[in-house]
Amino acid sequence: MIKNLIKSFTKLPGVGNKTAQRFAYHLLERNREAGMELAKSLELAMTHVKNCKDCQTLTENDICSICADPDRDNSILCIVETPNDLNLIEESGIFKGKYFVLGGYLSPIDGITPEDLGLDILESKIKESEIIEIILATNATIEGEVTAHFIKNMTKGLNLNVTRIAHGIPIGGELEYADSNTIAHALSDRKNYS
Amino acid sequence: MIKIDLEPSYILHIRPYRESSQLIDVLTRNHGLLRMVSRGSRGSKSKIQYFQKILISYSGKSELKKLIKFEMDDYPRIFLGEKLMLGIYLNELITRLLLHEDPHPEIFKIYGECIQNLFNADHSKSLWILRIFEHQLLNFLGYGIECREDINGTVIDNNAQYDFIDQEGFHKSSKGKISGKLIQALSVQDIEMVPSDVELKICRNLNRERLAPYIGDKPLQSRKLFEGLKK
Repeated sequence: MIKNLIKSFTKLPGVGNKTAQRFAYHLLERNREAGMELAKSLELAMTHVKNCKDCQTLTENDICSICADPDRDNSILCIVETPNDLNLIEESGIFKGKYFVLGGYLSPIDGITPEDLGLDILESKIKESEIIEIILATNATIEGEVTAHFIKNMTKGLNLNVTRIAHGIPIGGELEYADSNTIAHALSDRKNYS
Repeated sequence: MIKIDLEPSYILHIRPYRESSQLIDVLTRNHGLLRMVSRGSRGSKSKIQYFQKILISYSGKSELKKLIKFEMDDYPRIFLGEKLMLGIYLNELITRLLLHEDPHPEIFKIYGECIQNLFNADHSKSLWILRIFEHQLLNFLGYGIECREDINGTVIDNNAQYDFIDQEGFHKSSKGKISGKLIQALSVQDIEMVPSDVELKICRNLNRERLAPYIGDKPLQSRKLFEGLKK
């Protein structure tokens, strides 16, 4: 039973055998109550959390709280790779539109295709709704860029404003520590200073 | 432990590996195609970049090498949109055709020239540059075909038409789709030539037929993705 618990903890990202042992003995010896709570939360979440029917993010309801919120702007759709990316954008507090979560990125070499990401669902969503702008907020990796390009191409012929999140020097960052690619992007995407 | 210092290389593909590491396919100048693990690099600030020559230090005797460090040896080339798709195709083609640890300095050289030419090129030029690269790649891998003479040993005539016969070469035929001029341009790798859309298509089909036996049953995914784009 104890071995099994330790083995289960090692399934978490970044947790090796030693850390898993610490977790298990901590809960067993010092905090059974927290252990029970963890078990309950895990069981509930694993049983009831599913994908939002509208944006594909994780939610315990059929429609997530953002999609169900009447105050959110239906005309702007922000496309992200993961539910965690959605949370990060929400934390910035600046975006009041809606989202679509791809659940990954296109990677031809790894055999990840448009069908794997539900891009057909996204396409019909864009066509059928009142969206006037889509923001491509996929990662600034080569796969994120391929995914953005594919979605941009999908919108050809539709009267849509397609934008891409800016890439450049991080706030509080110094040029000295930025790599040449980031500087090249920052320069080519520069904007008027006001 | 074998250790190689500052080997000129290009990144062909990066995939996440375990929690914070990456598996990287690298085309090196002197040691061919290699796969290496870069530990803890997913969250690191210094990102390894595609389409840019880097100097890479690595170690390891087994097929999976360990990346020790890298530094840029080139300026960045930002490939976006269609050009990025072409770049990805190029990289997939190399990873599919080259054997691991089989040195091909000449392929390293033509890859570098190709990405530089692609970077500067417009749409139709980009496709032509790719076709020339495919032709060069096949030649360097030992799958080249005779482009100066037809299968009867007669010099290719700029004004004649030809058919391509697999494993043999070009056959003169008045109904042939491939012009002698196009064969010559491929043969001398004339990147200054501006082929028509029809010529580009003919050349694409020719190279596709030549590449097919070496690519195997599994289709090139980047080609499929590229073809799925709306024109």
